[in-house]
Amino acid sequence: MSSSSSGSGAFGDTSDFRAIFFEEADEHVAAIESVLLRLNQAAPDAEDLNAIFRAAHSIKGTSGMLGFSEITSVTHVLENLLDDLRKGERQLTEEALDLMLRAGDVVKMQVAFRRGTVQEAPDSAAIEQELRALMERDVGGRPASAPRRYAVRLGPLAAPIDSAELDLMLSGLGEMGKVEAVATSNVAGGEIRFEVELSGAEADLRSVLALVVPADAIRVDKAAPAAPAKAIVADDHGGEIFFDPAEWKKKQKATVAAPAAAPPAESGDSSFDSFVSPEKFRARRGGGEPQEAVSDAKPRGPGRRATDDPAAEPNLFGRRASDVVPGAERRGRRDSERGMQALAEAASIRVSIEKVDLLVNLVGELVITEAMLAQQQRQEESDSRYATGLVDLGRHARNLQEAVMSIRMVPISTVFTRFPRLARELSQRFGKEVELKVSGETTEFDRGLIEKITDPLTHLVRNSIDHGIESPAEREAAGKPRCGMIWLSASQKGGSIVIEVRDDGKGLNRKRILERAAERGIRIDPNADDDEVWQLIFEAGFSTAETVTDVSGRGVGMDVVRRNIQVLGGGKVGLHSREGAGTTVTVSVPLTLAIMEAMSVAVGPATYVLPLSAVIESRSIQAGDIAGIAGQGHTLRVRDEFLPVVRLSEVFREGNGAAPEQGGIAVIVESEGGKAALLVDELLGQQQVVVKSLEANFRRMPGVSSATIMGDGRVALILDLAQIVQLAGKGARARL
Amino acid sequence: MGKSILVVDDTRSMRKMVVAVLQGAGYSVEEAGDGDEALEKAKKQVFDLVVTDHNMPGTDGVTLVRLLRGISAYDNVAIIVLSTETGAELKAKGREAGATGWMAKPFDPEKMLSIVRQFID
Amino acid sequence: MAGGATHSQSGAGELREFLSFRLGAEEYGIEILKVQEIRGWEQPTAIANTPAFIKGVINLRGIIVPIVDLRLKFNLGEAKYDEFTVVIILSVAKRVVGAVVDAVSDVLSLSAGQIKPAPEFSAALETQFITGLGTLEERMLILLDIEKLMTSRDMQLVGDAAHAATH
Repeated sequence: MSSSSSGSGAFGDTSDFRAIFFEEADEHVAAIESVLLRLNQAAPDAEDLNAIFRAAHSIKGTSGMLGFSEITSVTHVLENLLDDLRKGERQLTEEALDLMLRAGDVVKMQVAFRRGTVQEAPDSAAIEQELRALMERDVGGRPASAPRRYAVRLGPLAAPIDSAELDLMLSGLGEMGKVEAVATSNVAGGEIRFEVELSGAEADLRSVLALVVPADAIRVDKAAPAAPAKAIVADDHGGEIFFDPAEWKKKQKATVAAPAAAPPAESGDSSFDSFVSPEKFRARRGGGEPQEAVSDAKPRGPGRRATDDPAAEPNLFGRRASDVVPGAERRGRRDSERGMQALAEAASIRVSIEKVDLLVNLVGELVITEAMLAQQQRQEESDSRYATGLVDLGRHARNLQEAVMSIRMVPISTVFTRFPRLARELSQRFGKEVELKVSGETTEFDRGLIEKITDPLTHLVRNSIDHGIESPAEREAAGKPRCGMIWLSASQKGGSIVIEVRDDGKGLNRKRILERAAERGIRIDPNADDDEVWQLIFEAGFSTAETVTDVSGRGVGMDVVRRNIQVLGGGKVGLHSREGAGTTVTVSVPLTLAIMEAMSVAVGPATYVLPLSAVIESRSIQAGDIAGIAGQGHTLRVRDEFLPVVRLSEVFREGNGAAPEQGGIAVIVESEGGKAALLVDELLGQQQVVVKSLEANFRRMPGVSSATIMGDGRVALILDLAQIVQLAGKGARARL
Repeated sequence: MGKSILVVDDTRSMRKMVVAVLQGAGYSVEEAGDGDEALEKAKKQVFDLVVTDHNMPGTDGVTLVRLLRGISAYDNVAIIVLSTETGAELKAKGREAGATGWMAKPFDPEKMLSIVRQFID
Repeated sequence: MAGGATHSQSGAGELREFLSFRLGAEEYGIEILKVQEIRGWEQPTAIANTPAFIKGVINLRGIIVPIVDLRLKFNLGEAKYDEFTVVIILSVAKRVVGAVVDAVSDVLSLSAGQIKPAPEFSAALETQFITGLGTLEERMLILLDIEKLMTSRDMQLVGDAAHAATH
C-alpha cells in the first residue's frame, strides 16, 4: 500500500494504535451521522459543520498513518466537501447531505473491514466518484470559469518519475493555468508538490496527474487563491525546505554566526517545512545571543502587543485565550463550554464491559457473603459489636452493588441516535413528510437492553411513518400541516424506563379492526370501548396480514413487538389512539435486566425463582380446589376463573411427582401465555436477585430463563414463566 | 535526554502515535487533547519542544502557537505544527504566528525524530 | 506433585505441559492451558431434564458453571462424592465448565518425541477426542482434546445454536 510507506512499519506493532483508531473512528462516524441529521439544511450551524469536518479530518489523519489508504481516500473527499460547506462556498443540498451520509456508512464499513468484523471491503469508488462529481458542479454561484487554486501532492512515490515526463506534465499544466511553488523530491518514497491555478475542473487536473503517477498517490486540495505564501519559496537543492531566504538570512545575521548554508539535509523533505533553522533555535536556547535581537527577528503575534497593557496581565506567563485572539470574544463562551466538556471527558475512562461484569459478579459475591455472615451472627447471637459492624458492612455492600450496577447504565441516546436517519430514509421511501422529535435521551438504562430494545422501537417508528402518518396531500385535505410529527421520548418512572412513540397521523381505524376481528372469528362486544378494540392488534397474527396493514393504520407484527418487550423482564406495551388525531405507543421495561425483584419458592428439595412482576397472588390449596378435566389436565378455580394448573414438581421432576395437593400453595402468575396456577411446596420469600446467564457457559434449558445466586451461595434457577404457562395452556400433563 | 516535549492533538490515536515515537526515543512526553489543555500544561511547565496538531476544536494549532508565543518562557521553544493540511496560506499563518516548523501528516517516525533532535539535542 | 519437567527427555521440539488425571484404570492428560483451576466437590444445583452425568450448575465466584461427571459419562470408576472428589475447572471454547474425575495426578512436560499418534485402541473414549499417547518412563497418558470433547454434542453442554456456529 503506497500510502503506508511513512506509516505502519516504522511503529513496529501498531495494534494498540489500531484498536484506539477503530474505537475513535466509530465514534467519529456516529458523530458525523448524528450531526448531519440534525443540520438545518437552509442555514447549517457553522460549529456543527466544523465538528463533522474535524471528525472526518481525524479519521483521515490516523488512517493515513496506519496505512488504511482506502479510508484516507474517502474521508479526504468528504473533508474537502465539508471544507467548502463550512466556508460557505457551497450550499448544503439534499444531495450533498445524502452523499455525506452514505460516505459515513462506507467509512463505517471500511473500519469494520479493517477491524475484521466484516469479511468484505465495501465499495468506496462509487461514493468517492459521486462526491467528486458533486464538487465539480458549481453550486456556490461562482462562475465556472473563475480560476481555482489547487495544492497538489504526488507521492509517496513508488519510484522516481522520469524527469522528462514530469517536465512535460508540469508544462502541460502550465498551459492550462499557472503552476507555482514546485517542490520535488523525485526519489522513491519522495513527494512532488506544487500549487496550480486552473479554471478547469479538478477531474481534468487529476486526469493529467494520473498520466505520471498512480491515482492513489495523487492528492489534490483546494488552496487559497491568493498567496501570502509567496514569501515561502521552494528550495530545490535536494530538499523542500520552505523558507523566505531574505528573512532567513536576516534572522541568521541577528543570531550567532551560523553558516548561511542550506538547512540540514534531514529536514530536506517535503513533509517538513522549517521556518526557523534548528541551529538558531539551539543557539537561542543556549542564551548565546542578545535577547533583543531575537525578539526583533521573532514573528510577532498579536499577543505580544498586549503586554503593553499592564492591566491585562493576569498571570505569570501571559493572558487567557480570550484576551489574545482577535475576535475571540464571541468564541470565548463556546470555548469555555467546550473546555468544560473536555474536562468532563478527561474525567472519564473507558473500561471494557468484561471488567464491569466481573465487578458486578464480585460485588454480588460480596453481598452474598455478607448475608451469610449476618445469618450466622443472628443464629449465634454473638457480640453486639460484631452485629453493628455487620449491619454497616451490609449497608456498604449494597451501596457498592448499586454503584457498580450504575456503571452498566448508558443513556438511551445510544439507541435513539439511529432514528433520525431511519425517519429520513423511510419518509423519503414512502413519500411522506415527517419530522422526528426526540426527547429525554439522557435517560439511563442498562446497556444490556440496547440491542433488545432497538428492534421493537424501530418497528414502532417504522409503523408510525408507514401507516400512521398520512401523505402530505391527505394531511392537507384533513386540515393538518403537510409535515407529520413523530415524538420519541424516554423517561424514568420508578424502576422502569418508559419510552413513548407518538405520531399525529391518522390513528387506528376502529371499524376496520372490528371487521377484521369478525373475519378471524374473534368475539368482541361491538360496543367495547376503544382501548379494548385496540388490544386486538396485539393478537398473534392479527395485524400481520397485508390488507390490515393498510386499513388498521398500524403495521405488521404488533404481537411480535409486544412479545419482544415482554421478554425484557416483563416489559409492557400500551397503546392509545384517536382516529384522525394519531397514535401513541408506550413501552415500559425495567431499567436493568441484571437485577430483578423475585419470589423464591421451594419445590421438593429445590429452590426456584419467579419474577415478582408476573406473580398475581398466592393462595393455599384446600381440598377440592383442583378439578381434573378429562384429557385436559387440572384446573384451579380462582373466583370465577378456571386456571390451568402446573405442578412444578412434575415439570422439573423433583420429588416423587406426587406432591400433595392439599397443604400446597398455588402461585397465580400471568405471562404472555395467559394466567396459570403453579403448585409449589412453600414460599421462601421475596428479594432482589442478580440475574445470571445460564447460557454463557451452558445452554438454554426449557422452562428456565436464567439463574441467580441465593443467600447461601447456591445457584437457583429463574423460571421462564412464558414457556411454563404456555405448557399449562396446552392442558395436558406435558413435560418440557 | 531528559528533554520534555508537549504533544497536542485532539485525535487520541494520532496523539498516541506521536507520543510513542517520542517516548521511544527517550523524551519525556506530556499530552494535551486540545489547545486549552495544552496552554494549561504549558503554563505549569516549560517544555523544550511542542508538537501540535492544527485542526482541533476550540483553540486550533496555529492559534495555540500564537498563544504560546505570548508566554515569555516560550520565546525560544521550538513549536512544530503537525497537520494533514499543507496549504501554503495556512503554513504562512503558522509561521507568522511563530511556528518553528510545519510537518505533514502522515509523518514518518524517523523523520520526526531527526527533526526534533535538530531542535533540542 | 512430582515435577514432570525434571524427567523430560531431550526429545525434539518444545515441551508441552499436561495435567494428568485418572478415570477408572486409565490415565489421561489434558493441556494445562485449558485448565483454569482444580476445586473440591460441592453439591451443584441440579437441573431437571438433563442426563445424569450433568450434575448441575455451581456458583464459581458469581459465574454459573455446569459440572459434568466424566466417570458417569464414560461409565468408569465409582461415582462417589466426598471430600476427596475433585473437579477440574476447564476453560474451553470461551466457556467455563467443570469436570469430575477420579483423581488428579500431576503436571507433566512432554516433548514431541514422547507423544505418539493414537492407535486404534479401545479406550473408553472415542478416538476422535484422543490426540495421541504420551509416554513417560513407565507411564502412559491418553492425551485428550478436552475442548472438542466438552463441546461435542454428546456432552450436551452446548446449545444447538453454538454448535451451528462452531462446527
